[in-house]
Amino acid sequence: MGQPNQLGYFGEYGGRFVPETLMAALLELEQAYEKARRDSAFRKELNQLLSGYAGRPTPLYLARRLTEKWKGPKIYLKREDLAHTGAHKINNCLGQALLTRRMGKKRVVAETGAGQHGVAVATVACLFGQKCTIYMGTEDMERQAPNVSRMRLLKAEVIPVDSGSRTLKDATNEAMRDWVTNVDATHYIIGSTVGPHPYPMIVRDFQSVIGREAKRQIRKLETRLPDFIVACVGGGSNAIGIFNSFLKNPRVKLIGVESSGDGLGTLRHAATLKKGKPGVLHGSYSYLLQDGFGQVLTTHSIAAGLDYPGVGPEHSFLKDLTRVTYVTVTDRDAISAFIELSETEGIIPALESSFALAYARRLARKVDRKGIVLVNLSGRGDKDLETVEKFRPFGRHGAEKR
Amino acid sequence: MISISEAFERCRTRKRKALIPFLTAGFPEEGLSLRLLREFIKAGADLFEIGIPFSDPVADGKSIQYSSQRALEGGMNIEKAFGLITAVKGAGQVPPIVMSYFNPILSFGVRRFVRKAREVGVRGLIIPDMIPEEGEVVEMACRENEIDLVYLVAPTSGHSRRHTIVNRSRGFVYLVSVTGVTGERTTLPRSLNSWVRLVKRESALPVCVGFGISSPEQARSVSKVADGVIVGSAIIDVIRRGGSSGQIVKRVGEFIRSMREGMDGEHV
Repeated sequence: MGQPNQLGYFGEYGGRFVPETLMAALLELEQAYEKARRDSAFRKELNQLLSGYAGRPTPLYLARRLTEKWKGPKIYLKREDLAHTGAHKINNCLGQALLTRRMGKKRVVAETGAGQHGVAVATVACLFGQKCTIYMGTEDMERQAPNVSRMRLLKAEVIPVDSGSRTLKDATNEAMRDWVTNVDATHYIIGSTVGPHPYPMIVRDFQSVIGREAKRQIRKLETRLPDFIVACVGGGSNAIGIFNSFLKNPRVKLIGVESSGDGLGTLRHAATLKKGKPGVLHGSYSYLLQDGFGQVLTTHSIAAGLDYPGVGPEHSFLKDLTRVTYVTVTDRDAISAFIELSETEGIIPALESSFALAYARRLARKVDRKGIVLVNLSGRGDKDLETVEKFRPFGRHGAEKR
Repeated sequence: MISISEAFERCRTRKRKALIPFLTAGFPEEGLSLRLLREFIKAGADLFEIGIPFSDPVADGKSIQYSSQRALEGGMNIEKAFGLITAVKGAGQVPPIVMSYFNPILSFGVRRFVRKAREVGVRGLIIPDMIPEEGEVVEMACRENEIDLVYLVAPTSGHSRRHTIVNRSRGFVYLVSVTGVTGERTTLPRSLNSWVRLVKRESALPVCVGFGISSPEQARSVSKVADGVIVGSAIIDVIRRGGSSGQIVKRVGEFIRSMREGMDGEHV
């Protein structure tokens, strides 16, 4: 909790395991960020962008029909799906775009899985007049095609990545190689709380606006804090963003939901914290899905944004501290939650967020009506319609019977 | 088995610069890897570098990505890579250096890895994703086992980082020729030689240049100032041109001899 140490460690996790070529840029970014966060003009500009451009604060919405249906605790949704570009990713991108400008860099690169981060980067690049290159696995380009079109409309160069599992991990490799090659004039906007120090700290700080707002909002609505906060975890940025303001409130139980894909018993999952062991990928030491020789395993999740073998170092730390409980949900359960929220509340959630929702549904069976469960609805699901329809054609079935 | 510094001493006696060819262990397959490593030595290598393949080699360009993936598909791992080094050891007085990303080493156990490496005759270790700030544990294990941990210095490293790197490196300093990943380049940066001179002034150790050196002309130009030349991707590319095992070994041998001649032309 709080700041990582000088070398970028949260407990034993984090650090900087990168080619020497990148060190100058990481140190420059660290300095630029330290200066910026103390600069009231920077904070003011960021806050104005968050409200005027990104539409913050996002509502904290009491899902009455869902609450009635589940016959349990009150279900609140933090509506990050209503933020500009359709997900929480914009919070981080606005902050990092400002840092890019402060460092005098004119080009940004990024990786993307679901495409939400890629869209947010392309968006801020337009806003700030920066050149933009996005790396995306070919499997993800196929399953998140609408976001590819959005990025291209926003003038981003979208480069298909055909290596490895052709998903987020491989896109991140390519983005890092681009950065290593063009580091003098390019900033790498990492989309999650992963990567070498100072990224996990910076991304967390920029995403913490979610939890700060949610805390204020729930206090106003309920005059107390929630009993549970549930968020999905791929790299972990929306989760850390909403958890951060509640870490020091021990009575608020924090739950991170990983994707168990086809099931934990299969090899097709992305349950890093549940099944991984600590190792080094993409610049930091954290839990990692790897084989007995330290080779990184390929993962599977129906949600491209969760389909990643690593996880942010602060999550590894919070797991070991047992401050956050990490659980898993299968693709099947997430799809059914996706459909249920759509049908019950008229809100189409991102597949990623549907994992959190599916766990909240499970939780609702065990918590009484006086309880309050807050779900971080990290993004909207327009991008996922094709994937879900493949899984279960619309109009023929209702939500899964419980 | 002689040490890295003894190998450089021998180069000085012979009035030549060190040629350090690289091969990914298990590429294009295990048996041919061994023949190629033996050919390295026959063709005039002063030291050689053997890469343990990793699934996510972020400091490498297309060639070494490809060789790593192929090697992993063929079942290459640390134990087998050590087996290859054992098999090649008798071939000559040419010290082997292991290149590995950090995670395979970490997974194997740092101390266990370094101890076993020394047992099979490894004299140097290069970890492309390890900076001095993170290197203490590996350095200690290497010291105990008389293996030289070689750090990389990059064009982006400022004065104080260069100072740390040249002081913490053992054996030699690996100078990264370009801001970028490994891989063949038709031209090297014009400022390369003056930069090599700068690092040499700051370093008590030999300075070897790698990343992108792919022709005898480049090797000649670099070896005017550097103490050694590391050639990796270009060798992988020669292998990728295909042919029978015999042809591949022959072509790689010819390529290394041409680099050798390029380098020695200036000094003989």
